[in-house]
Amino acid sequence: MGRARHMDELLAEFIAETQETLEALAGEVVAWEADPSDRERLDAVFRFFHTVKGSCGFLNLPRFEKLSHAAEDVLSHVRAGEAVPDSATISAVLSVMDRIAELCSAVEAGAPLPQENDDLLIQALHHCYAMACAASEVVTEESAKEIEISPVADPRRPSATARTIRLPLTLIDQLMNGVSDMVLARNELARRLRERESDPELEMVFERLSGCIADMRDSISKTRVQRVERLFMAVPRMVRDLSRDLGKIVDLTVEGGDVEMDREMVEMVVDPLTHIVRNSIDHGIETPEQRRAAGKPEAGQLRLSARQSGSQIVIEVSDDGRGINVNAVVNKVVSSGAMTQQDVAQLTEQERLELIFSAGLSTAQEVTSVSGRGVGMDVVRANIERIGGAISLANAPGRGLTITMRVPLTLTIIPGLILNAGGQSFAIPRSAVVEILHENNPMVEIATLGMARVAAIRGLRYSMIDLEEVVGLPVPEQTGPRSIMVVRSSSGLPYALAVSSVENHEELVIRPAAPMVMAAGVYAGMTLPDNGQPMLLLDAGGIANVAELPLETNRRGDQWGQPVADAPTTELHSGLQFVELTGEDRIILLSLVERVEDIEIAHFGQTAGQAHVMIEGRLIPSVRPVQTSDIGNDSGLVTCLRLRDGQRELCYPIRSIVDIFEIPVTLDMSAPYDHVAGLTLIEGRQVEVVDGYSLFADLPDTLETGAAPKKCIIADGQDNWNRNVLAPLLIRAGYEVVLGIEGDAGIGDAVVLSTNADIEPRDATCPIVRLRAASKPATPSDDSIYRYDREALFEAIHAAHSERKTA
Amino acid sequence: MSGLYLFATVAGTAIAIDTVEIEAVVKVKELSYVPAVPPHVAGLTALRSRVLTVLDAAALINGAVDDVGREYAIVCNIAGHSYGVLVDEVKDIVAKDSEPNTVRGRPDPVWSKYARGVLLHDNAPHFLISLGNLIENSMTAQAA
Repeated sequence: MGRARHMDELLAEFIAETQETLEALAGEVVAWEADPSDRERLDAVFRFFHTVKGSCGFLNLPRFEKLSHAAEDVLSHVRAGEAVPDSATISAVLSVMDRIAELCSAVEAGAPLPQENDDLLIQALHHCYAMACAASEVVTEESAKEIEISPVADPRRPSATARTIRLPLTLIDQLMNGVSDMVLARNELARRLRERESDPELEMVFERLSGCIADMRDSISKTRVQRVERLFMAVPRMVRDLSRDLGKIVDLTVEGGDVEMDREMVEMVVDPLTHIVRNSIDHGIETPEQRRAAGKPEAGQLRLSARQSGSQIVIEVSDDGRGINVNAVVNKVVSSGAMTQQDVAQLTEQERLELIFSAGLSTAQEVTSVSGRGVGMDVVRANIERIGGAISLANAPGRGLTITMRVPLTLTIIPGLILNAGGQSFAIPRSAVVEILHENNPMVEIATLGMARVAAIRGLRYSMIDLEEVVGLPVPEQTGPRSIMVVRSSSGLPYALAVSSVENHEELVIRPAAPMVMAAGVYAGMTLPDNGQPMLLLDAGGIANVAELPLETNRRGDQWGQPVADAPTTELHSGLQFVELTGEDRIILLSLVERVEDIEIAHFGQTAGQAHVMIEGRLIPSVRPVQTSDIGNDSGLVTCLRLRDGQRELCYPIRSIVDIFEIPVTLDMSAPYDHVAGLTLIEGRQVEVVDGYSLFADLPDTLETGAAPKKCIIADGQDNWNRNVLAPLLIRAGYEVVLGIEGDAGIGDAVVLSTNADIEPRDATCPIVRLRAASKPATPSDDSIYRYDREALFEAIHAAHSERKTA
Repeated sequence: MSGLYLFATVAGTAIAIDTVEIEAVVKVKELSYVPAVPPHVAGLTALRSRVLTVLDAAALINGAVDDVGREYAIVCNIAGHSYGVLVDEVKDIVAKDSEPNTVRGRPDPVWSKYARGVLLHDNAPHFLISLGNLIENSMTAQAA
């Protein structure tokens, strides 16, 4: 019995070890495929099969042995330089690894082993290898020579990994609890010591004990930490397999694998990350043909990065694919009945984009085997938010998508602040607090309007609320000033939370709170700080929700339209950095950009000082005229930003797009001139920020298409010049044109244009713009306008309209 | 169903709880008040390095907090959370071999949803209640 038990333990260890190595190797094999001459990777894969073969002979696992033996055999030939493996061989090696993984999970679960025929796999492997040999006969001779020089794998090569042992997680949790108990006992002891007469010797011993306990707590905390690499390990293999299935070429870049985060957190992020990467390859990155057609390199770029930012880990997945088609998302939401057209019309561009997070939404044209499994971005977001994280999108239609996940470093130990409100103590994650000020600080100005309070801090205005009011405690009288915390919620904007005082900060061990406590919506968990008094951890976002603070971002168009002092937030906005036709680097608010399009230069024109461009049969004003020499290449295409302020459209011709950055609403330097609002710093460089407001404000009135178009009546509707020259001109300029006059009644507030004094309205008060064919007036009193004097014509029409309005 | 039962009083009513559900009975010294929660959540207390959510069983049953100072709490772990359920008085822990009787008569409606049977102890009937059921009910009580 003792022996059987020993075997079980060995088997469990073998399975766990094999699974771990498999996980680590998935990335290595893909890298090896990319560069078959990479000796180190080849060795790593070889060692894996070698180890499996060795251990399983001992454990009596014949199928493992057979599979690993076959793979080892082929790889040893490769190592001897007899052939360069082709991708078919590597695929075959990968499928052997997959089979071993399947067998492992079956053994682990105690399930019957899967019944597939291993011989087929092994045959396929040998076959592929034979093909590779034949193909690389020429290469063989050369590489054989190389092998003579470089010694075959050095068996004494020191193992790169440190020695490790396996521990059950529960044991680590027990240790953690034990340390917490120790801290509490230490605190109790400290209290008792203070009550006695001071004894320096005793205190010194106590200090030493305290130090040891603190160190121990740190070390135990570290056992919970893991490198993000583990999270990324499975990605290269997934990218490889997916891109193959979908016939796409994807270049994967992984950065920041050495960032560390809580093990539990890693587990929580695996699924969302997998989903996002899958989406990116399936929906984001186009096929090589589509990419060629769009003028992009055939290989799509997929970048995966992790970095630590304060107490958060930022994980970013960006691709240069087609981005999200916001209209398709909107249509889908409307057709699913979740929202009406009217609801959607109320949304800002960013909000529309975020509809992608609506439940059960998939923009894929059809359900593919890869994604569209009914698990949508809604689940991804819910998973991330459940662990106190946030997810955001930066979409550049046609150019790519960046998804940023921010998750706390750890679920269980966070730096926290302890505060007092209404005579109670609460904790709040330090990461949620932007700054803390006393209410009597000269930088703080509190204004009350109705019942709403607004705190203006250094020119930024925040919604302000007392914590006591949210949780239903009395606000106690106090001698000193109250404290105002500027608090950031995970999804909304910062707001000001007033409390009695902020006491101290410490590392807090967070535990989940009971469901009836969580149901209050304002708590994120509970904690037992060093003073031994249990308290609740506040959830900044939840407080804002419960208090119903208006925290949604401003409506589009407002963002730059009002003085900065009115901006209620320090929220960052996505900005699109681009290169002007004139060469300057500038940035524009991404929410203004409807899309990016390449337009033939022939479609650009200029009339009456206003540049315009013909898009889809309509004339749209352009920010500036374009010459062939401006665009810097001979493609004849101009890259254009299509801007929209809700009603009016504008085309912004540029040279090229640089990237998307987060920029603050408050500019680093406000220096308005021309269409530039000021400067902001991006990665240490000054970039001019385009003033979206002035762009639209400077549009000529006549091009206003949002309001009901102004009406012009051409009195003589039969005249050829009127019909063929004047009417099209007016229509292009945005007027509604009526040909022919039918009594005074139909005029309403329209302006009448007359070329023939015989056909004119009888009502003398009705403004009439008279046109003449001759360039010079016939008599000095003649107030008519030469019909080819476009500027005078539009000015007269405009003046007549204003006259109507004031009349 | 024979086993070890804890006999106690909640809101003046005699009850029995299967000790399978019980970890310990503790004297609650300090309670941290929890605002913005239903009245039957009495607060939090520390039990060594654990934090207990303390529920006032009388408040849950009567629907209102009274001013009886209760200091004994039954510690239990329900669905991964540690609770302390405050009771008026803990009388005894006794092994019972007999099956609980079905509830006879017409108990107060507030008890009918908790009482699963009746156990005799010291010649007096005790409602047999389950802490899991009580705590589950405390969550729905809050929604109402």
